[in-house]
Amino acid sequence: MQRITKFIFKFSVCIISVLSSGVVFSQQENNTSATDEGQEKGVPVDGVIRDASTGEPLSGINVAVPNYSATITDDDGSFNINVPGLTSAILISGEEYQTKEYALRGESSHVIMLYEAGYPSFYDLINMPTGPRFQNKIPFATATLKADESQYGLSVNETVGTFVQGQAAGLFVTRRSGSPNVGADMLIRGYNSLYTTNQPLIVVDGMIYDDNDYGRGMIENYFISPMSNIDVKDIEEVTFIKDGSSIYGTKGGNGVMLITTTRPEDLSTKIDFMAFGGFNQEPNELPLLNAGDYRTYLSQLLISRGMSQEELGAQPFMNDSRAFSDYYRYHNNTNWQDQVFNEQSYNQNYYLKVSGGDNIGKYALSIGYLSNEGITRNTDLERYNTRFNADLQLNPKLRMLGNISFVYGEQNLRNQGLGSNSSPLGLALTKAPFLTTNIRDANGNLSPNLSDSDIFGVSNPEAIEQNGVGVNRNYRFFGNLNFEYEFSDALKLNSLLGLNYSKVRENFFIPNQGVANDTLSNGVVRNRSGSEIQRLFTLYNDTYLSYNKASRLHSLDLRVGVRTQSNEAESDYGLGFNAATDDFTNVGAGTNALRRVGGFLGSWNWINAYLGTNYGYLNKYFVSVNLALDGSSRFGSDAQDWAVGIGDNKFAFLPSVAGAWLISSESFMAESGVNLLKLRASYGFSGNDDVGNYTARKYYVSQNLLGMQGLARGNVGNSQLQWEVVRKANLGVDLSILNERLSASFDVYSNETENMLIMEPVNTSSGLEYVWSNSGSMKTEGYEGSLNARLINQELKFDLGFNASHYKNTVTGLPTEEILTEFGGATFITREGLAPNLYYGLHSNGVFASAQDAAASGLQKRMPNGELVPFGGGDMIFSDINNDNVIDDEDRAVIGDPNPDWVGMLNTKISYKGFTLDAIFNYSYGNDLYNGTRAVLEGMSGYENQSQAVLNRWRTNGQETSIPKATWGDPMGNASFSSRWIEDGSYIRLRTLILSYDLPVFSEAIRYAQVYATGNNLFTVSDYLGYDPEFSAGSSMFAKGVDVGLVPQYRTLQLGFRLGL
Amino acid sequence: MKILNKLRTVACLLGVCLAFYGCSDSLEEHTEVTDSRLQKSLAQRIAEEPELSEFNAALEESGYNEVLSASKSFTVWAPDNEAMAQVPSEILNDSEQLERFVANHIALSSFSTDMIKDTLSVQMLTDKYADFLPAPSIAGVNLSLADQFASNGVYHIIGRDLAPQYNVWEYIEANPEGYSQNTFIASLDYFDLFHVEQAGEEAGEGIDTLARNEMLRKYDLEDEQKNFTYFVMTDEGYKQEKDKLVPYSKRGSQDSTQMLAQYNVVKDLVFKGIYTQDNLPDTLTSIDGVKVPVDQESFIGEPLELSNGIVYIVDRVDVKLEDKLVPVKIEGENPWGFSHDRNDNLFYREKTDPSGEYFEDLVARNHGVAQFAIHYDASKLYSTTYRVYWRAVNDFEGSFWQGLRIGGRYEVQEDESLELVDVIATYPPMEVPPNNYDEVFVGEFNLERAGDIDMVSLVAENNSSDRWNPLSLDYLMFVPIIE
Repeated sequence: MQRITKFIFKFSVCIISVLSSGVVFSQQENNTSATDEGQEKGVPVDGVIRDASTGEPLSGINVAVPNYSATITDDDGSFNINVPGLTSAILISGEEYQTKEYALRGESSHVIMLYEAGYPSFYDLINMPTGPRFQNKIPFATATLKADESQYGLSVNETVGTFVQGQAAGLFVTRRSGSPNVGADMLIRGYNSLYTTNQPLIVVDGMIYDDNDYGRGMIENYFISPMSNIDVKDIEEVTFIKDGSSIYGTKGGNGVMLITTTRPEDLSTKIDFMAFGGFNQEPNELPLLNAGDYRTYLSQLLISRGMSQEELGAQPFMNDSRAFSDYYRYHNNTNWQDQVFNEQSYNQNYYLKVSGGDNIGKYALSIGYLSNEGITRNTDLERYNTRFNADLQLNPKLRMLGNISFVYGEQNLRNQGLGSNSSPLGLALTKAPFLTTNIRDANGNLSPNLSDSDIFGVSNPEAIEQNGVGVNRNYRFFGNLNFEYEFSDALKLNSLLGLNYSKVRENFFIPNQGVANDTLSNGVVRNRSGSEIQRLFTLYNDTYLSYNKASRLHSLDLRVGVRTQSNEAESDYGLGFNAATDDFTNVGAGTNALRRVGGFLGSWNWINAYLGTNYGYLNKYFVSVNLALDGSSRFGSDAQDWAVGIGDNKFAFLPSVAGAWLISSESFMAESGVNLLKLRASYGFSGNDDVGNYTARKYYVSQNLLGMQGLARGNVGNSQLQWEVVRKANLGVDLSILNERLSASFDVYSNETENMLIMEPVNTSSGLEYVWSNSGSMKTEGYEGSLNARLINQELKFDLGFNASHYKNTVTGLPTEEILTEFGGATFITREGLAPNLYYGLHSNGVFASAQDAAASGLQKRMPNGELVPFGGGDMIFSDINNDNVIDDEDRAVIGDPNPDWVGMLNTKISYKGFTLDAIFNYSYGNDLYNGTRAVLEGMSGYENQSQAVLNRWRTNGQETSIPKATWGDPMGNASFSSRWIEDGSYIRLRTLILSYDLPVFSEAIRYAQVYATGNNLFTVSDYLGYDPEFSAGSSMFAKGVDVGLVPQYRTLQLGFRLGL
Repeated sequence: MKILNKLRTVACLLGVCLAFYGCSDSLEEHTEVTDSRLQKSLAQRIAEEPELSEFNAALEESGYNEVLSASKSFTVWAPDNEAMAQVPSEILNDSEQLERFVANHIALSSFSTDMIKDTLSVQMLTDKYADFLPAPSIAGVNLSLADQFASNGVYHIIGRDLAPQYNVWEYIEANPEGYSQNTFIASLDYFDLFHVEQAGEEAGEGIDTLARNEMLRKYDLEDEQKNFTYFVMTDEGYKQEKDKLVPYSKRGSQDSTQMLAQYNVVKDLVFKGIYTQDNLPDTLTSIDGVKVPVDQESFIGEPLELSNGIVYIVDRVDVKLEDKLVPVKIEGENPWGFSHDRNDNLFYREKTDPSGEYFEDLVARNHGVAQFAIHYDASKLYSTTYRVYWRAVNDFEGSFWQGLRIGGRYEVQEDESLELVDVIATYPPMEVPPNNYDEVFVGEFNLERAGDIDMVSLVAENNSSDRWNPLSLDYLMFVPIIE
């Protein structure tokens, strides 16, 4: 391997020298050609430019051959221009119209149709890591999302992550939950790694944006997603680079998401103001048992616990005498979901953008305010954001681009998830409905005081909502200054200096009153508090030399540079317990003996030397070569594969090459009617450096033994630890026909991860459970396509877009036979030859209708004491895979796959006069989900309230049903992790529907005025038996598809207006 | 591929109206109750069963159909119409009896036949228990149709009714044969035999009469969870036994003497557990330690099997007086009071004697009080002469002397001083020699009236020197003399 590395390294050094000599050569050639041919020479070309919808000729449109000639169309839309040759392409651009590169293909007379600006087209100028390029010349698989009018009408719930969902083929976005600002899990082309991050690299305005949560998390099942604080309205463009991302070295393995924020376009001063208001609707509640049905269930269940009938009859909830002092306490019918959800909650959003400037300095300033009440009570989000982008010409040679943003957010949150005694929603689903929120006296009068935790040891969700505290306050300064020195038109030197400083402060308090006591190893906990501060400080620099030159035959972009990033992250937390009263809510008020403090310190550095070259020949043949040499403080000093040693350090060498052939620009395609046809191919290496800051080294952790503090070895240092390598290959085709009314892309790819990080189990005598090693490998193959069509192209315009993506993961190498992981009650298996993290459990086939049926099956279950107990009537029928008549872990099999077969999006846009209707449907097909919520709500093993499905539970011999019997503690494992809880997670959702109308404007001062009506999550079609089929309980792949009972997504309706001055 | 079908529907209906109302029909489908039997309550199910029309009429009559519509869960063993025809009409026509009759066919929580492993003892709503056996049968009646379920429970059809049996207490109260023994026990409800109310033990409404009943205080004859064996004597034998005890039960009046004598007879006629005729021993011991002879010859007829016991009717249970009058033991370590507050000088000891026998006693030392006294009481003594013994262990000092006084009470005089009156007997200080572990005879006293002695006092020497005034007592024994 080392030899290959060296060989490739040497080879690429050669390429670099050849390319650099090419630069010199082409410069010379350019010089000669310019004198040889001159302006007057060349071939004359004429044509007419028309509007693609109306057919009207367009005047005032720029027609140019860059660095050669330029003209403007006449009133009748006609133009004459001299071009270097008929193999060239002309660039056409005009205000309010698309920019288009038009290949002459040997013809000298043309009719060219132009669409309005924003029309999805392959000629868009998009931002790439090496600078802006026309998409038709890019040999990589990319997808771009451009700012669009509809972006302004988006629901306030949309964050960057959710906004891009479905918008690009190959992008797999899972919105995490209905908590405001919680963001989304994002994957480009599926998984590349088991234990390291699978999220793409996010680059905002040229600087790497860290979207990680560096905390321990004070609020259960809430994720901090800094990226959610970027206002979607500030985004001008998002480009996804799905392959060949090796220019970002060991950070590009999962693809790259380049975000460009809004920049000043022209010099006139423009003011955009927007105001929105709307409301969020309560999700459809899960059908739970009412008080009567719950009591029936309980009176049956408790007997199976061994309670005598007399004890059962003596339970206070069984006493129906009104004279009984606790009668009113236990005779209510409370819909706890109603107590937790806001029937309606309100949101508002204001946004102001001012842009303008002069020929020396241009600026764009935006400020925004957002407030959004959560769908569960006493949760909300308030956010203030500001962004200042400037473009200053300091002197004729020196230019400075500035991007500065500051965001402050404050959120009230509560714990989420089932099984927690402090999560209002989890409690609402499981708390006995015959109880009520407030204390009731013997006469039934309702007290203003809240009920305490009940006889079942379950907290009052109302107490946590009202008297609990859960606050997240955060701010982030993220900005950079990019100095550009122009040596010549072709040669520029840039240096981008960036700073990221962010702080997150989270604290919580769980009161004593109304909440069940908790236990620690050394005490009973009455009330709890916690506080955490996270800090992230990043200094970033990207210094590069770029060279851009185009001639009649050749074009060359070249960028060579060095990026450095140094990071410091810190988190400190304190947990307090048993404050004297519920009025003291901070950690310091807790008992000294129980207080716990802890934290995390991380510091890591990264350096990345890179080269990106794009070479084009005859505007038809394109080659790009990207190289990176990466060093990181995280890598082990003895890294071997693909490693280049410089001094004592090991560097990752990651090259990639891509080529494209623009077939449609060939002369033989002139009569074909094909507007664009491009073939793309790429092959290259990227890496993943998320291997842990100190995993390669030996470290010690503090440990407490019987009150003595000491240090213990924290890991087995692995000096050979290195980055994961992802080998990416891609083949793609882009096609546009019928005057661009129909365009399509299709890509097929293969990503192979080598040196995949694995937690390898080690001998217990080492005192440690595992060691990190680069001993796995995985392969992801897939294909994706997208289609855009303008179906009606008149005054009424009807656009339809569709995309679909598919991937298939296969683990190709593991150091152990299999890896079993547990999350939220689900077990996953990862085994060579299979997709990673498949659901692994028992296979259930219904319920034994009678004891005779059960006896006939001969199946038994081994109890914890070793005794074999036969299954009886009303027990689940589990498949006995190993045919030993005993149902146990040996009978587990793969019962589902959380990965979808297909995800994608269908969008339509209909515009007529001033009206525009945008609709975005997104879908996921073929993914399985583990319905952990249902496993609790149909588990029938304890005091938890149950779903109405258990009304069908098995009662007596001979009853045919799919729901087993209720037994305390579920000794036969009827509710154990099995295919009973695995559900089809396919869904299609009308995610966004925006109707906008351009009001007629009569004043010169007003540029435009628009009103919007927006609906978000209007409907979801799914067979999923939970609140919502889309959720994510963690960004790790081992948490995928597990429903732990998060706050569901909900419907939002809002109205707004937008005014331009 | 339900989703595909659904998509087709959606495609048809894709409009605003659908857009605003999400479809969650999968969930509705999943939680729908499909089995029509589970949509009905037990009351509805039984009402629909033609075979149970008579029982259903009884349910409606007694109001239990409402209970069976309630949200608890129940099991009903419903007698079919044939069985209901056999039920005596007086039960069916008397609302109180009917209620009990119906209640004895219903149990809280649902029991299906698959839950029976061996014997399932089921408590009916009358609180009476019945055995549910895997046969399947309930209280010996086979189920003709088992395991019919409804939303709130299960019912089984049986071919014979489960009319409730008396428990021992109900039997005594009902006293179908009219025995005076039963009449007497029931009458104790209204007679505070040992003045428990005066002693301040009783309070509250509703419970006083039963709690006052000395027999019920001693045995929970109405507890369905317990089992008893009870002997009833014919009036003749009962009278003979009573007369035998009259001399030892003397009270202030003739009436109360008769009452006490009767009580002293009946208190030893109840035994815990069921002794069927096959396993009845020839002697039973009552909880007071009285040996009671069982003479099968004197049994009259078959024993009565009750819901919580068995009753034997006998000519006479002839308990020997020497067995009846058992000695009374007063433990030294259980005093009720002291003449002076000297807690620091009391030693509650746990020791073994030289033979290895464990004992607990009380020693008072170094209290510095002349005539320091420890007070005990003795209850329910017979009116007879008692011989008094003690065991006082002195393993800490040379000989000392301690006295004993039986009876007496303090009376407040006009000058507000206290004077001891009504002393039954006073024994002068007796030597307590070192290391004597034997029982020592102290003296005799004669009790005129049967009943309690509230004060039995162990009194130290009239000397405040610690050397001479210790007290020690393991126990006092009052042995009655039969005249």
